[in-house]
Amino acid sequence: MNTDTDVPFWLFLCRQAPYGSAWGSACLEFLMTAAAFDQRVVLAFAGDGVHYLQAGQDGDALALKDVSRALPALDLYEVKEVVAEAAALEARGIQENDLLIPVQPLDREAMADLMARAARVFVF
Amino acid sequence: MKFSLVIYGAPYASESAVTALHFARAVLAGGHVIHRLFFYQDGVHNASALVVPPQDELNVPEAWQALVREHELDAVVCVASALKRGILDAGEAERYDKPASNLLEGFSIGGLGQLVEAALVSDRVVSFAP
Repeated sequence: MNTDTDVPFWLFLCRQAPYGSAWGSACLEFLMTAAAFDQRVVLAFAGDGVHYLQAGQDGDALALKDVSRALPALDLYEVKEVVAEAAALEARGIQENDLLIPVQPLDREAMADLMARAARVFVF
Repeated sequence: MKFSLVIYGAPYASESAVTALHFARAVLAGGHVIHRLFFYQDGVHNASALVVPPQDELNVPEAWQALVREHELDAVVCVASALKRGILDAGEAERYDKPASNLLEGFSIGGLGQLVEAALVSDRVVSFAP
């Protein structure tokens, strides 16, 4: 995945874990709407947000639908650029084979660079 | 410059809604234009006609309403967020067979497409979250 092309993009940064709050769902809803308008979007997970990427989610006990089902659908919306804070994955012991979709791990500097290059940044 | 504001916080639960209100006033006083106010997630409560604050506190929804009226602003409340939180206009109340509607006059129910549009055409999009 190459985030270096000149096409302006909007960055959607999800920092909250799924199910505990609705922030991540709001992030995905807004991102998919933007993608439906043909806006190039990049989805980033940082901090507790990286838990969205973990396989084996089950929101039944909270009567919440499995929010992770939206992730494999991103491809259908032409959202192919998904990154995650490498340090956040590592700190939570989340490994590549635990992930629902492929992501590009970024170190802090690369994440900061990505934010600086975005035309818009929406933080959740 | 053309600004759009996104308000995520409910009034009173945090300072974010009033901070957004102050910022909106400052934007307009500075001679800029507000393209849209978009109330999302818990921010939809800023559009409730049923808010009753303590007598010595600001009525935040009415303060937004006054600003919207004075400057003819486009104040949009996200439909998905509003339905879940029980902020309904007359049409939605009827559609879902609810006993009442409570959307404060001056606000309109809309979708995320309007937030995308605002982000496409505005020079600045400023978000206010708790």
